[in-house]
Amino acid sequence: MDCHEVSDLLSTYIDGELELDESRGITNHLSVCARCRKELFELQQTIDLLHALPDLTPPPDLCLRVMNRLKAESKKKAWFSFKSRPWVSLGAVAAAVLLFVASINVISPFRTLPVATESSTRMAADSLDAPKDTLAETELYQLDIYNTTDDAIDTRNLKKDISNSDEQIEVSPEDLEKQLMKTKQENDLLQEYSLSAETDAAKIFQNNEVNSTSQETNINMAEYNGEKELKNRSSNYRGREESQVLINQTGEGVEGTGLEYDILLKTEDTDQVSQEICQIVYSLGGNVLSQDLTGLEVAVPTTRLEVAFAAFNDKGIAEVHQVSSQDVNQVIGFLKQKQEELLLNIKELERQTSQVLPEERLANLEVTINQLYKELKITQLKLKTIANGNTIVKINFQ
Amino acid sequence: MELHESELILKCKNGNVEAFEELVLKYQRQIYTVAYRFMGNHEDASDLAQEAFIKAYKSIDRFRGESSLKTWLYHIVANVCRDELRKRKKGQVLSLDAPISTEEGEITRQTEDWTYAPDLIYESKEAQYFIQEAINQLTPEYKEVIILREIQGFSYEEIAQHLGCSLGTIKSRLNRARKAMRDLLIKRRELFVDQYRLKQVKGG
Repeated sequence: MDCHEVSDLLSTYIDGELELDESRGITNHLSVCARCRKELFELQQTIDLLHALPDLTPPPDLCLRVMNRLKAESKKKAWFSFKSRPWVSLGAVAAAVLLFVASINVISPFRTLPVATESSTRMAADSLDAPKDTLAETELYQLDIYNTTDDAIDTRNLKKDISNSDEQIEVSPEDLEKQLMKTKQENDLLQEYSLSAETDAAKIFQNNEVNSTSQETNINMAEYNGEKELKNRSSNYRGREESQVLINQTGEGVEGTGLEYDILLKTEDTDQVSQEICQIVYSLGGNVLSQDLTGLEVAVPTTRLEVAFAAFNDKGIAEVHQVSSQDVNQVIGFLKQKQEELLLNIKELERQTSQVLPEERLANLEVTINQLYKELKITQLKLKTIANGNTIVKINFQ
Repeated sequence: MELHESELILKCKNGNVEAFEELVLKYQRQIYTVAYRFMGNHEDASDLAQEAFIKAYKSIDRFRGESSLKTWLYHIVANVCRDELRKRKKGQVLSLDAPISTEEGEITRQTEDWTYAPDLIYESKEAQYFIQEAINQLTPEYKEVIILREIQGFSYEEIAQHLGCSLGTIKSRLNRARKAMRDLLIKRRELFVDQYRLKQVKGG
């Protein structure tokens, strides 16, 4: 992948919307190309600046103006629709179309918005002008509704005329289940794919570490061999089969590779240190996963891990202790389990919010849901960054 | 005990205008903000937010809960603003902020001034204005995709559906739009350094 290709894909890379092999190609390129890293950094900052724009306070009379206009118009409309009723009702047809849009919003290493896995049920029913034949048409109709408003009130009155049964159109449970199964299968497929890709990465990394005794040497080896192997990687990573071959040749097992590091950082000025770590990580083509007063979680391209640690030291920040390293499969397994639990929890809580509840309870629920979404986002971010050939480094301040 | 949103929506569907008021109060902040990001001034933002709510009420029958109400309203306000921007591109509608040309030269319009104060998350309001100013300078096409994605937080699929374009088109348009935005923002280097601090403020 050359700089030009990478530059075209960086924005999509930031959102985690690329195919896995493309995404890895870019991660690899970034680990060796300072110019593209700079561009990534700038784009990410641009996005962050936009995200950080606050909500604004509307003029105090906005609501009043809306309500006054609506009240005035509803009087006029009521008279009009009474007059036209007998004609319109003749042509009334009801159509129900069930449309599922299951989007697996692939975990983004850079995005900060809290939508992760989302499946939405789309249902279009009723109305005179609803096209009934194809899903595509229905979609158009769905989009179009925002523009057509003039006949809205007529339609509302009319609907009451037709019959009450038209109001509630049942979705058969079989259909629902079928769609859910499909979504689930897609999900599984994705996970399977990323898992095996992650395993590949683990194998390569593992291979770099053979015969090392201390963690420090592990890192040195990884960096040393990593640079050496980079050429192999960047030429091979495009096709998964090709990288498979590479792994078979090296022929090592998956076990025992550390891909998550805990670092204890002794420092006084945590604010300053956080900033500097962020800068180091970004400059290496990595990313900051989460950040609070007690520490940070960052993702660093595995091949540049040693550089990162050295940079922490150079800044005079760090006395770096490696507290633990975990087996990559354990990490992934744990993250996946966590992701599933979070999804289930969120689903359950969201179901609860659809019931009639006291305001206070509802507000609490929403807070909890938001927290869970945040956790989910971080979890998925980690899964994604590991798959991209990054190593997660947890830094705790002391 | 607050009536739940779905009950309010049901009431609106039955023609109860008053029920809509609560929904307006609940969402006016977000809807107004989106309109402001599109239009770049308070008068237009206020008018178009109003327009969006009125459209929403009139077509509330077509809201079936397939998305959240917020998402649905977001689509409406984005459409309203998009239409307005297009209209202006064609006919160059008079902006309230623009000076009026007269025989004696240009005079500045006097318009109502809201006792309005945007929230202070950025250390300087001025930085916010600078960023909004940069958004204003984008072409309508770029502006739209930037707002849909970065302000409203729509997914690629949702944007593609909203604009009636393919996913590929959205990806490359967003890429170009972000770069255009970057080129505008980078004129003020310090914004890019400040970012770390911003993050901390935001994350608590």
